[in-house]
Amino acid sequence: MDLIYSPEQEQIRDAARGTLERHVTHEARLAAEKTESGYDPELWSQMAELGWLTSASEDSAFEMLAILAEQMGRTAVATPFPQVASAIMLLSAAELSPQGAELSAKLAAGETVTVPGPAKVTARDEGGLRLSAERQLVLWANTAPGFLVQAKTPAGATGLFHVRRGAPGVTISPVRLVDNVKGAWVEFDGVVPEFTAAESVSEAELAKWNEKVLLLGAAEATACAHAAIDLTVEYVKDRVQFGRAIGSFQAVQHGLADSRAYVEAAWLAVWEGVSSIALGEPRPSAGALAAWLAERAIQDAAVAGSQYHGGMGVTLEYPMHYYYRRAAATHARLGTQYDLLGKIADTYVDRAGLGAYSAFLPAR
Amino acid sequence: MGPQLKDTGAPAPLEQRTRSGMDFRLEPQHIKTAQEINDYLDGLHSSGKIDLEELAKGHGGRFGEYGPKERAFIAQLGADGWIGLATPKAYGGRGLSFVEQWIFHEELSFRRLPTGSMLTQAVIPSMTLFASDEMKARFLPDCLSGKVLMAIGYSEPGAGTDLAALTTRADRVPGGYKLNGHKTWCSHAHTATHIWLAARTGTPESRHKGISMFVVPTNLEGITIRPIPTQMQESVNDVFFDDVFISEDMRLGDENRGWQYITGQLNFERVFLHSEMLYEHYRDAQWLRDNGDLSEGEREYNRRQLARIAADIHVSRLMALRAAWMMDAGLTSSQLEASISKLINTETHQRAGIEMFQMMGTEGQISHWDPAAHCGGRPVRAYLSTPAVKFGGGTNELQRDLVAGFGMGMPRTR
Repeated sequence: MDLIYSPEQEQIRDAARGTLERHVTHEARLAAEKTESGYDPELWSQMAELGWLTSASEDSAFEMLAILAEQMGRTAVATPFPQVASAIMLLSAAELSPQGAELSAKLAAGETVTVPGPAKVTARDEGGLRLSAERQLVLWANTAPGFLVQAKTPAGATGLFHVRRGAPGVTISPVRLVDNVKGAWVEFDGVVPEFTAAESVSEAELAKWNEKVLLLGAAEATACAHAAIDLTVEYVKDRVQFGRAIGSFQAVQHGLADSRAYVEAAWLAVWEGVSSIALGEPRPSAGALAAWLAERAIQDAAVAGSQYHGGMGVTLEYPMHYYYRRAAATHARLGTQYDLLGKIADTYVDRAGLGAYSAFLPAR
Repeated sequence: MGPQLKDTGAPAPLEQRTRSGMDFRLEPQHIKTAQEINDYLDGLHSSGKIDLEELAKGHGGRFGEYGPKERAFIAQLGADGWIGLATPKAYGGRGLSFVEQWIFHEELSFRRLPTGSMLTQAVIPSMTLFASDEMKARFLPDCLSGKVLMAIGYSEPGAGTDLAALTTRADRVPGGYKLNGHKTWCSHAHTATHIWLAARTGTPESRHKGISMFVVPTNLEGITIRPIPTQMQESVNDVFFDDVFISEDMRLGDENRGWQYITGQLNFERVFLHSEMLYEHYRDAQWLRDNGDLSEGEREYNRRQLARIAADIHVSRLMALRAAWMMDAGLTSSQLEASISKLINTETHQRAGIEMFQMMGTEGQISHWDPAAHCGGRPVRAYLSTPAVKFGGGTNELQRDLVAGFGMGMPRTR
C-alpha cells in the first residue's frame, strides 16, 4: 500500500506546474481562445520537447500521464493534449501496421495532432473499405490534420483507421463550445481511410481504453475544481464588505469547505483507478466512479466559486469564467449521469454484499 | 484461546520502503489477518459459543445498546485477544497495524455485530499516548480484555459544540478532587463501567486552558444517571455529579492539559470512521431493489440512485483506509483530511437513509419497533439515528469551519 505521491511524482508534478504556469497566463489563455486553432503552439512544442506525450504509450507511465492531466486541469488550459494522448493510448492497445506504428511515433513526438474521430462509424466493403459517420462533435476537429477512427469491419473485428482531414467525403463544419476548448462537427460519407493502423483491437483493450480516457478526464476535472477553489479562497480573503473580508463569513466558508470535500472524494477515486491501471490490475468501474465524482466536484466548485466572486466571476477580465464554463463542458465530455451511474451500479450495487473489505478492496 | 496470530509488528517506516507510486492494494499480511478474523468469528458461531446471528438481529450497529449479550461478546473478543490489534505489544496489545484493526472493525460491522469501537479507537490509543505508566498498568489490561466499557462525558447543557465552555468542576481536595456538575447526551453511561470525563480544574474563565481529563468509575457515590429517551434505539443519559470524590490517580495525564487529550482523542475517532451503517444500507438496498412490485423503470431508477450512495460509501472507506495507513506509516492526517472524512461519511449516512425511504414506498412509514418493518427496521432506525452522527463527535458545521480555517487558511469566523 502507498497512498501518497512518491517523491519522484512530486517532482514531476512541480515541474509540470511550473511549465504550465509560465505559459498559461490569463492573457495567453484569452489570446489562444481568439485564434483559429484555439491553442498555444509554443506550449504544444514545449510539451512535446519535455516528452509528456510519450507517457501515453505505456500503462506503467499512466500515473505520470494523470499527474500531467491534473496540472493541465489546474490551469483550465485549452490544449489537444488529452485527445492526442487518447489517440496514442488507443494505438498502444493494438498490434499496429507499419503506418500505424509510424503514426504512433509521430504523435508521441508531438509532430502531428491527430485526434480520435467520430465515436460512431460504420464500415462497409465496396472493393475497399468505406467509412461513414453521421454528423458528430469532435474535439479539436477544427484544426486536426487527421482522425483516428474505430470501426467494426465486415470481417467482424474492430479496426483502427486513419482518416485524412482533406479526404473526399469528409465534411468539417465549425461549432463553438461553451468553454475555451475547440471542436467541430465531423461527417464521413463513404470515406476511404488513408491507412489501416491496426486490423483489430480486442473488446477488453477497448474497455480498458475507455476507462483510461475517463480517468484522465476525471483527473483533469478534479484538479480544475481544486484550482477554482484555490482562486476563490484567495479572492474572498481580499474582498472586503461590511468592513471585513467576506472569507470570514461562515456561509462562504462552509460552501467552500463542501466543495473541497467533493474534490478530496474525487481525488481518491481518481488515484485508486489510475494506480490500478499502472499496476496492471484495473479496478472495475473505476473510470465511471472517478468521472461521476469529478463531475460533482467541478460543478460544485464552479457554482460556489462563481457565486462568491460576484460580478468578478462573470467578467472575461478575470479567470473564474474558465472554471465555470469548463464545469459545464465536463458533464458533456465525461458522460451523462445516467450512463456513469449505470456503470458504477454494475460493480458497486449489483455486486454488493460479497464481503466487507474483500468485495471492494483489491489485494496485492 | 483464539487462533495464534503471527506477530509481524508494525510496517517498515516509509523511507525504508521502495516506492514508485500509489498502490491501494491491501498487503498480504492484511489479507491474512482478515482471513483469521473471519475464521475466528465463524468458529465462535459454529462452536455454539456465541450465536452471532441472534446477536446481530438484536444489535443496532453504532447505535446499539451494550446490554449483557453485547458485553459478553466484547469480553469474549478480549479474552481471545482481538481487542487492541494495533495496540503496542508493550501495553499488552498485538502490535499489528492500524489497517488490520480497521479491517477487524469492518468485518464486525459487516456482520452487524457490536464493535466496541469507542474503546479501541478512542480510549485505548489515547491512553497509550497520554496516560501515566501507573494508569496504563491499571487500566489497559482491563480495556484489552473487554472488561471496561467507557462512556464519553463531554457535553453539558451549556457546552456542546463549544466544549471549552464546560462548567463541571473538579476541585482539589486532599488525595484527589471533588466533582460537581451535569453531563448530558452521554451514550452508554447506564451500562458503562467508566466515564471518560472532561472537567474544569482551572478558573471559570480559563476556557480550554483549564480543563482536565479523568477516568471515573460509574459506581461512585454521588453519581446519578438518568436516561433520556431518543427517537433512535439507543438511549443516552444525563449524568449528575454531586460532591463525588475521585482520587488523584483517576486523572489522565497532566492537570489543565485536558484539551490536548480531547482533540487527540477526537482526531483518532474522526480519521478512523467506520462504515457499519453504510454496509447495512448496502445489503438492505439490494433487498429493496430486488423485492416488491416494482416496474423495470423503477428498478433501474433505484439502481442508479443507489450508485450515487455507493460511490460515496466507497470513497468514505478509502478515506478511513488512508487515515489508518497514514498512522501505520508514521504520518499524521491533516485537519483537512480528518474533517472531510467525517463530513463525507456522515452526510452519506443520512442521504442513504433518505434514499432507502424513497425505495420502500408506502411501507416505509412502518416503525422500526414493528416486526412488519422492512429489513428488520434497519433503514428506519438508521434514518432516525443519523442526526446523531452529524452533530456528534464535533458537528459537521464545526468540521466545515476547520476545513476552511485550518485546511484552506481562511480567516476566523468567531
